Amino acid sequence: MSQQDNVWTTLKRADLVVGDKPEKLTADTPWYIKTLLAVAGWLASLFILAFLGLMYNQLLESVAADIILGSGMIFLAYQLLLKQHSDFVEHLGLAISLAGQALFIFGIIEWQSTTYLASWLAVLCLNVGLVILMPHFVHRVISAFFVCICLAGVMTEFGFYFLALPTVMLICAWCWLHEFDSVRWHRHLTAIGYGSILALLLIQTTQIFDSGMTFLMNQRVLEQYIYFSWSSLLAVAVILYVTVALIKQHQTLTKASSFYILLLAMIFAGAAFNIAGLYIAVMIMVLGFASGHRLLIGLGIIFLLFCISHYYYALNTTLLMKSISLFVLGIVLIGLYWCLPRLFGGKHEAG
Amino acid sequence: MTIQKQSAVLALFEAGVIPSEKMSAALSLLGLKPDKQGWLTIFERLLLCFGGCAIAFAVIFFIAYNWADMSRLSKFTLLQASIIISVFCYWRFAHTILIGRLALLVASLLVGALMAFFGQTYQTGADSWQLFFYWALLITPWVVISQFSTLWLVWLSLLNLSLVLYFDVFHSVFGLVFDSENSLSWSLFGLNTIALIVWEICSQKIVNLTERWPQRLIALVSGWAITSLVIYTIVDESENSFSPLFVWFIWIGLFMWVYRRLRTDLFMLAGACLSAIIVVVSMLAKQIIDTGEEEALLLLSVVIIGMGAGATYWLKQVHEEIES
Repeated sequence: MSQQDNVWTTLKRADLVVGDKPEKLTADTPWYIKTLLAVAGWLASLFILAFLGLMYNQLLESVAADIILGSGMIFLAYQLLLKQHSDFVEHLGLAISLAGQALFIFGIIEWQSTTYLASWLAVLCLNVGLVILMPHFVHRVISAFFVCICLAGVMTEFGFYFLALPTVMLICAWCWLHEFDSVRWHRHLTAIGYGSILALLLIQTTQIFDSGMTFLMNQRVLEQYIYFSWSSLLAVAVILYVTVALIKQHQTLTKASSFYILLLAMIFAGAAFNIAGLYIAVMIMVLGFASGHRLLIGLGIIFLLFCISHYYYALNTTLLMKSISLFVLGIVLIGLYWCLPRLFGGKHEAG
Repeated sequence: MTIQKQSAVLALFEAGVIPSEKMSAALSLLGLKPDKQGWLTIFERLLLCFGGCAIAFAVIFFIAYNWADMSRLSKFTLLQASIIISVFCYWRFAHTILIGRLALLVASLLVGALMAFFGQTYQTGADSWQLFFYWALLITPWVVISQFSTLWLVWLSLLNLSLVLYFDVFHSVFGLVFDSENSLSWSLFGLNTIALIVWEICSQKIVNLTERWPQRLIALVSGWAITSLVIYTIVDESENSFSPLFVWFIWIGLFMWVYRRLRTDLFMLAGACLSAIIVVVSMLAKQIIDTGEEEALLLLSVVIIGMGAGATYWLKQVHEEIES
């Protein structure tokens, strides 16, 4: 008896399924096979671009040609991915789409060479459309990644860079919390969830770099601290939103338990206030635990390791302040560990 | 098993047989969504791990700050006391496996900080690679008794780092043999392949090493080393490309056989396929660039797509075989 049969039988007994068991169910492809697909598509698209660049060098110097050819390739890819006759066609469609997008974006940048805002907005609109319309999971993840990056770019152009990280955190959290709200949008939401996590990693790296170098050169310490605090405050708000949403999902929790959970979340947020990236890592891991997505838990751990090493090199504060922040955080977390059984009952596990 | 269950329930959800409002109950029933006790356990582990590591990094960052107002004796006392406290915690809470393992992890990290500070204080003139090598050596007994995958990986990472720094200085083994720019890649490949083989053998006997993620990480480094070696020798005509290619053929053949027949692991097979695609594409790309034909670039992209599609098709077949 296969795992699918076991799951079906278990759910049927508990009256959690409707109708008859579907005759053929397609098991979800593991993430590493999808990653192989993405890497092959990306590599192939580079050679397609190189071919186009060398063969039609004169033609592609025209902005209109870039945009028209790029749009045409994206439309062709859409048709190929819609039909999906075979793995070959799937790979071909992905490669053509990526190459077409690169041409399109190159044309837009050339056209709007004096203003970045229009370029960011154009690419944002393109990728929002691709996330909704493209019938391919890996493609949606890549497009969702670019949507989040472009959002950060647009906010930077408007001077609201501190909003970038919390906004993408909110998108990520909302998608994972509402993953199963609709069968029609399930795949879209999952793809946006993964894309936003990859974008968070890149935006966080950029922010750390930016807060370290630009601010020391151009701004006073107080302004730097205020900027950083706004970003952290909004990130705390997202963490509290995730906490409240998860509490609502567990209707058996008493009011007292819910209050303690919120309180613990706020204590953690206060202790980790100045440690960049820690909120994001914890949020990703908690969302992974909530829905049983082991890949999310792994991504959260990778994010955490990445952020700790960047925290060491970040220039926004001294190593002494970082040491004190980490020590206070450590003491608070160990203290919370000892308090948990007393607040919620039970004992510490043996292993 | 968890991943297969999740895959199955997602397939049922997408087929429309599980209503959205019942999905939460379905995940809870199958154990994919934690209940109250599950959440407590998860948070206990997270709080303990984060708290312990935060304190360890706090000490390391403090020593790295090199605060002039604190004497060297005080800093040595701080470091050594921290290590003693960690070891005491291991002894005191040995019955609680997670606390014990974390205590040894913290102690192991602090040994590195102590050695770095020792070298900085007494200006021993040691090379950087020696710090990481002797750090790994000193913590070996703790690593063995902990039976903690994470600590084993930390130990292996230290050895890898010491190799990288060693070849940064010497460019050959003991300054005598294998003097080549590829010596580092060969050494990393050798070390990590041996580590992978030993880990796979030991994981069959030691319960605490049965998780697959450590082996996958080690295989990533081993595969990256041999693949980059082959690509380098393809690109650089002055290097002898026969040995790396020959070793790569043997490695990929054995790799595929072991992880297809002996211990089926789709992640390992996907990694091997990616390595094969990259090597073949590199060889073809080198020939094409030499001919200077632009149309051949399009052919190359078709080859990549074809190989990627073939690999994906085969891996999906293996995946369906595992699922059924």
